[in-house]
Amino acid sequence: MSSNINIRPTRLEYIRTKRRILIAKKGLKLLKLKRQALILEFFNISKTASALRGSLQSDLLKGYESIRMAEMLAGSMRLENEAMKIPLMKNLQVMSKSIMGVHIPRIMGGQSEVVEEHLLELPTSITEAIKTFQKIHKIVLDVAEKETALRKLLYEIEKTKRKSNAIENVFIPKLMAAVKFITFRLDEIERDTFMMLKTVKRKMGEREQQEIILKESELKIHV
Amino acid sequence: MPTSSYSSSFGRLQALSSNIFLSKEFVLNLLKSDDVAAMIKMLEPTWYGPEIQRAASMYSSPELLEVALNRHLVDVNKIALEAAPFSGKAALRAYLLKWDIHNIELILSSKIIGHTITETEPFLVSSRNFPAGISAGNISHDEMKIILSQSNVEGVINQLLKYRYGNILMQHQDSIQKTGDLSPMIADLWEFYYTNLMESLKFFQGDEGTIRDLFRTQIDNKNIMSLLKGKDSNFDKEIVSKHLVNGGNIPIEKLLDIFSSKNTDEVVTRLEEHLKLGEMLESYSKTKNLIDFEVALDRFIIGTYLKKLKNSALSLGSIFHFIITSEYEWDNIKRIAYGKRYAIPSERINSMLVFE
Repeated sequence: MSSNINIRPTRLEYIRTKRRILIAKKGLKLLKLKRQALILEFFNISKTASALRGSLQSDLLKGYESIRMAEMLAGSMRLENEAMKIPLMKNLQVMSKSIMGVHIPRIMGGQSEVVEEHLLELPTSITEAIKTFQKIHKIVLDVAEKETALRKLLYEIEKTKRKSNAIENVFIPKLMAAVKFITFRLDEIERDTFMMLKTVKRKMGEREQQEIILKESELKIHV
Repeated sequence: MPTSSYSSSFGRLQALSSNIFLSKEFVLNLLKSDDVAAMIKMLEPTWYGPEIQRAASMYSSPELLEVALNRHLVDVNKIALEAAPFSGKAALRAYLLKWDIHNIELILSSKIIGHTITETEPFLVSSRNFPAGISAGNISHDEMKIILSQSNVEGVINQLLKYRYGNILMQHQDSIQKTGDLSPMIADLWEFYYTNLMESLKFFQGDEGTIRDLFRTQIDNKNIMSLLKGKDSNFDKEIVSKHLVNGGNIPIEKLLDIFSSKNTDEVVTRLEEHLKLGEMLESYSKTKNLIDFEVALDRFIIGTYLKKLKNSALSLGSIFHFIITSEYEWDNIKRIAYGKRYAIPSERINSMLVFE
């Protein structure tokens, strides 16, 4: 195994690799949990976003109808006149909220400073049109917020999936192979040592035998 | 005899009425026309013809029709003001003051928002011959331009001090500059408008009861709509109470009591104790749209008072009948024109029309 060339087949390395496998398995479990939580959040937001999109469609139709009604009942000049009185919208404030470490945007502000009380002094048709478009504006901002969150969540889900796949299919098998390699090498070394000890023992026995024979032959000569 | 001064104006306006105003059948025929261009063709042989021809060089439909309608209304107001005897002119001016209030509201808003003169001027209600301060004779268009050229809210208010509502503007000057909220001032201006209107009709000649009743019901109309809009937007009682005008048939305490109902439907049910709208609420009960309720109220007012005014021959009533009829005709034609422009079904347009 070419990848095992750099592995030092030592007990310390064996213990270290075993510990890394345990950590990798824990990490994998956490990543899978994160992915599940992200998918759950993705579906929740996606449900809200699609409901908002649906209502946006119907509210836009209602909004355009209310503008037509306002023009019909109050006249285009009065409508333009009232529209001119509405101040410019406030700047949008984009804050962020963290879902499982993913920073998704939260859009604040952006509403015009129409003093609500002022609506009581306007023709009903114009009041209805302003209220409908205020609602539409809020929905548009909500849809933008949710859809950006969905894109970010989707990217994070993909990233988490790639990470967990890499750990599950590449990193852990590689560590397992390393453990196997170390075990094999350690066993080899053990067998080697055993054989060496056996040989030494045999050789020592043979040497002792030879010494005994030699001593016995010397005794015979003296006798 | 005080009534004799009205005989000539009655005769003059009666003679003009048959020419100036369109019959109900004619208006319903306009509803059957294909588009605004066809409507303009139908209106050419009528009293609107010269105004349409005059405006045709500068405008094309549908603005052409709106400008012609506005000029026609200005003419009607002028005729009514000229026909009124000297003693009755104050009451008519008090009625036409409403256009001045619209102008003041627009100018002050533009100053607060920071719009330029060129942006605001075309919207002045006396511009483009819109029914107007010109007719009311209180603030002329030139005077309006001077007011508009002021650089800030303070300047505008100082220019308006010479008019009777100057005091009201002064009272709100500080709060407008601090908060930029015009609504309390506008509410007070309308309160002044209605009080002034009712005052101008008080002990006038002794036969102005119907006119006073009409304006009391118009005050009710304004109050009821404020109540419904407030309920619909979940406003507090205190906020709504600031926008209720005294002098209507329904006392403010009663209206505030009605406002404590759970929702707009309950408000409408409780209002029926005071105004018998009956079948007029047919459209509202289907759509639950406040616009339909407002149209129902307009129909109620016109149905109840316009005939009575027409019959009060030798009094200010006939002159008010002349002005108010022209206003409703102006509204009806505009509604049909915009309805045709946006291809709104004829039945829906018809539900918005108000006839005597």
